[in-house]
Amino acid sequence: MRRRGRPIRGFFAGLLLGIFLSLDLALMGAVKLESPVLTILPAALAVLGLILGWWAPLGRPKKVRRSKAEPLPEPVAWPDDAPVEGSMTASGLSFPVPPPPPPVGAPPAAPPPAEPPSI
Amino acid sequence: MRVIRIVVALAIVVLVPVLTASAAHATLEGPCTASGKISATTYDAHLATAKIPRTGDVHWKGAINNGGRGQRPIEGKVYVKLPPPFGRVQLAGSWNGPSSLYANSGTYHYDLPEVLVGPKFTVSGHHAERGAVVCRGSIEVQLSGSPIKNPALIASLVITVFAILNFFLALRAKVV
Repeated sequence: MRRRGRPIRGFFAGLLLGIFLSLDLALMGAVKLESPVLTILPAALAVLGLILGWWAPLGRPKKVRRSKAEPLPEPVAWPDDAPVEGSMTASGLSFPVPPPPPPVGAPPAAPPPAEPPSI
Repeated sequence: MRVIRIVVALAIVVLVPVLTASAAHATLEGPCTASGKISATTYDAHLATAKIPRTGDVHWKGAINNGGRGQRPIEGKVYVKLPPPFGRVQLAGSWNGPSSLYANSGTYHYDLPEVLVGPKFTVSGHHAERGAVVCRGSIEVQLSGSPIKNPALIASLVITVFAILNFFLALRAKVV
């Protein structure tokens, strides 16, 4: 989709705005009636309207800036031993199940004492 | 947006000195004197601006003190300056032809419309003798009254609001 500006419409919009702004300034007494500002303002706004109308800064899609950060890693599948939806306890906490304790049996036999060295 | 900011800043730098500059006082050059009295107020070259009522009688008088005598061709007019390229608009006061008078006075009735309340006019005039301008003067004139009540100003402000909206609508990009 291409977007274009409206230079002709901008020119006449600027000219119209300049004429009525000059009229406002003259009628309010802000500028003397013989001041050249009253003729420069419509001409300047007409040119400004032509330039801005051609550029058309409003409504253009913003350019997406590429960041210098590294791209995100590829997503991985959910592990099978991870908790799934609906597996939470009533308290809302889900602790991992501890492994079973080792079986209780006879302690291992102590090793024979070492003979003292002969003198 | 950066370009818009630069343009706005330039406009402020250029327009503020131009808009705020104003004449220091009325001017009268040459061997002439001129004054006008409206109600109890006398307006002459000593006043910077003249704020006069919208309607009234002005008792005017003028004289040239160059020591001249006898009849000679004179010419003069009073006018209001407009912005370029419109030039100037002549008012009712003008004189032309041979004259032996070196001073004159009179009463002039004026009645100006309400749409002229608010603007600042520079009223200027000159007097010439034997084809050469010997006196010239000007004074800033404004009609007394509130400019907010000027119907032309109210209409112009309303249209200005729509013109601003129209201007920003013209800056939109159109899909092709």
